[in-house]
Amino acid sequence: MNIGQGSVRLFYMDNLRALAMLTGVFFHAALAYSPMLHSMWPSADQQNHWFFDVFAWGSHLFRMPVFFVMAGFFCALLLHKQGGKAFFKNRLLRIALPLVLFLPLLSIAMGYIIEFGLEQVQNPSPFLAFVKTLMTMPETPTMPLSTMHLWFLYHLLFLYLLTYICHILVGAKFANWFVTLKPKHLLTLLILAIMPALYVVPVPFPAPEWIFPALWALWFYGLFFALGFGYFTKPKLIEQFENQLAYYLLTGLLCYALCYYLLPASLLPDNQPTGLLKLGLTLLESAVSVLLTICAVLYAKRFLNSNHAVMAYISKVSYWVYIVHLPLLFFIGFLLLDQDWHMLIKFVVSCVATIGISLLSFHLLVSWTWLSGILVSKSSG
Amino acid sequence: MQNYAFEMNDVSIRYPHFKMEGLNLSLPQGQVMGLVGVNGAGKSTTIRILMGLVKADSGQVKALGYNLPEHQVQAKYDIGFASDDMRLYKSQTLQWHMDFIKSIYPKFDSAYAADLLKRFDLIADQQIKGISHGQRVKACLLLVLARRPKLLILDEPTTGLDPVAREEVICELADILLDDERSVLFSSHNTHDIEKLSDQIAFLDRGKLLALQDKESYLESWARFRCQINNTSSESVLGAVSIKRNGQIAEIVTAQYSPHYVAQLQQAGFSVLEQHRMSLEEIFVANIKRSR
Amino acid sequence: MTTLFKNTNMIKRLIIKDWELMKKGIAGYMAAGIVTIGIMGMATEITFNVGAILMITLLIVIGARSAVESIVNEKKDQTMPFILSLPISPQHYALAKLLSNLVLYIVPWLILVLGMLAVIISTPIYNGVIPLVVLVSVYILAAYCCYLATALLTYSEGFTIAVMIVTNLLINAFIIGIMRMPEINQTFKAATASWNSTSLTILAAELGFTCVILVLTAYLQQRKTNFL
Repeated sequence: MNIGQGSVRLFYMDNLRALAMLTGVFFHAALAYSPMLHSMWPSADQQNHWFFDVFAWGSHLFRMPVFFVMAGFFCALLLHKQGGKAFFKNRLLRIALPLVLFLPLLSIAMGYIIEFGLEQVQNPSPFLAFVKTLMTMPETPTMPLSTMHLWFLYHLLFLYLLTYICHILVGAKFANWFVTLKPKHLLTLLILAIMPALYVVPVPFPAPEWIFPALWALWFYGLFFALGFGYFTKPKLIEQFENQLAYYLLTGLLCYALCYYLLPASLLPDNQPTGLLKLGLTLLESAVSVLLTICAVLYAKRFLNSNHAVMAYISKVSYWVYIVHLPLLFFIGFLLLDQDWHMLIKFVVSCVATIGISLLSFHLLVSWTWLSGILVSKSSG
Repeated sequence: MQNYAFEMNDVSIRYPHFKMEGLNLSLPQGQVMGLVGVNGAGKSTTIRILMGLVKADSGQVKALGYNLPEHQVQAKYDIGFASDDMRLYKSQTLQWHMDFIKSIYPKFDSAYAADLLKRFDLIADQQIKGISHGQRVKACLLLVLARRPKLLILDEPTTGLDPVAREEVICELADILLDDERSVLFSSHNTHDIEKLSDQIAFLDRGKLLALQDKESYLESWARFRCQINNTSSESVLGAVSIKRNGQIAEIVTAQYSPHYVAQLQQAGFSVLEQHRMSLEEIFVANIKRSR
Repeated sequence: MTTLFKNTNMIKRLIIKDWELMKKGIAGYMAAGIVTIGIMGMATEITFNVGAILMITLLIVIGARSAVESIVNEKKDQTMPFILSLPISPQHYALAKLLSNLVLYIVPWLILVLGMLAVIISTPIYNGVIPLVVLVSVYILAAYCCYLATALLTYSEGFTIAVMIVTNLLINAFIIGIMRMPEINQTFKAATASWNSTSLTILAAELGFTCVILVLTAYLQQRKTNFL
């Protein structure tokens, strides 16, 4: 019996992963030139432009949800193909081990890079300047424990645990009910279900980097994870949106335009919207997340479902690039702070250099070692 | 040398309101022993001692060559035990139980289990909490029989079953007993079942073994006579278990019947009017009355 | 003892069986545990206190339910004859019960306690509260061992619930009692956790008591001659 999409080759998933990963690098690079995050981002440049904000926050609202949809999808696929025990072993090796292995290394690296920024950068960002002042205080505050950008892996582990819990407590009956819903109703339900999670955090929703599982993130990303899980077992769940995809894309973009317009000029805690404005922004954020995530998956399926050598290569290295890109971006960003170049050039240089060094390090440190067995994803077929 | 499925030598145990003293009971391999007694006679205690669940105060117990309770683990791999107070896990299915038993007993015969499932009209995927008492008993028997035990110990297996379910269970047991290698100890206060299945009968009452004999000779040794009392009738007759007088008629029960017994009665001054073979139930009642 | 090693497979099977029977409940507790740690992780005074109360409740409920469901109910529901008919001695059966319950309890206990300590260490909450948190957590563990022992030795629902009630009532007295001790009270709002002879003595007494209870239970189980 062929359940879900277990026996179909899924090139578009590999390609989508590659694109989403690249978008992640561009997103983090763009934040250095974001007016909204100017006072909070460690490598924030003196130059900034709203264009970077438009791109950064637009991609931010659906990029990680897309990753979680894929994670849910592959979770179902792996469970279907290999069963519970093999799944558990696989996730321990591919998710828990890299987290345990790289979190300390990245923390140390990030410590050194921030120290480098504090000591060497002549034109520090507001964040670096703020840290410098803190350092002069008699009691230096300690940095909170953080999972950094590996929060994705960390929360994924909790979502696997929750999947197991749901499997024991609820079974498949619940998922079957969702499939019976009409597209409009399912969309409304998803958007409304997401709203409480996003309402409790600042706009645009932050990365849940702290050492504790963030309940809002488990709820928010968990819904996308569940959507991906359901998509594997019942492809109709997402494919039913295919007919009116252009309409959903347009609605999503319009919602984002309005959302961007309503966002505060600076994302400092004091500037956070309250009351009805906050509620409206949360509704728009939720709508954008749901609509653009579904569009991303279905457009990828429509236009990117073929084997492309470059995309396959990027997909192959994406896990490694994901792990190392952020400290590299900060380091390069700090170096660029003192350069008198145009921000667009700086942005391109930081992206190219980060990706270039990541790829180089992949071939030098990973591709021929045991690490490749853990970090190189097999084809999704 | 005779091989025994189990041997109990001089076994004694004491509880506040019950005692069993010097019990000697053994079952040759391949035989079926029916253990008969009223409630509280000590049947379950005997079986629990045999399963290593209760340690006797003194005496020796061996099952399938293993000393009990010390080596009960090895012995239990070849002993199948089911009792009327045994329940399965309500929240689980019969299939879950079969898988559980299969993971423990290497000899578990899945094909036979599937066959029994059909014969007993059971549904493997049904939760235990949804099945009737009769089905539960049959499920327990299925789990015990499919592991192909050398010694089968059944404590009141047919208690509480409706006549149809009882008949099914008894027929199945009768089938199983065709296997000469398998020994069975089967306790019941239902003497019909015992009469149908057993090769040997053991009577227990108040912790004492009243009789232990093979079924045929045991049944043949009991008879009931309706006699005319003559003037010369003596007060007692050799071998009589009871003499009930009612006017000129006496009902005499003996446990030492032989073709010469009629002559013996006539010599004692009784004219035999009728002679009856006794059912096990009648013998059971007579025996209990005699012992008390 | 040698038969014990020969029979580890059977003990393992029984532990797996208990896990399978209780996994629905455990799944629920895991979900509640994630929520509790998430609430504590919000790191405000209110959420930390709410999380701590939830955690204590959760630890008590997990313990109470596992002791009743896997031990007392096995006797009450008459599934014990079924298990004891399998190739296991009653002593090893009791050992399997003791082990499965301890494992099934200590794992969530450790996760919740370590989670709580991690919250304290990584937030502005005074680290001086750590000894108190540890002492109360170990008290809950010791209380659990008390009713686990009662359940295993008596298989009586009444006795087990009575011990649960008494130990859980005493938890308040215990917290108030140690809070009133000057050695603990004075270090309560310190920036760092300070263990002094008083808190260490209480901790040692709790741990010692727990060990004695467990060893005594195992010993009395081995001496039992009558099961069912």
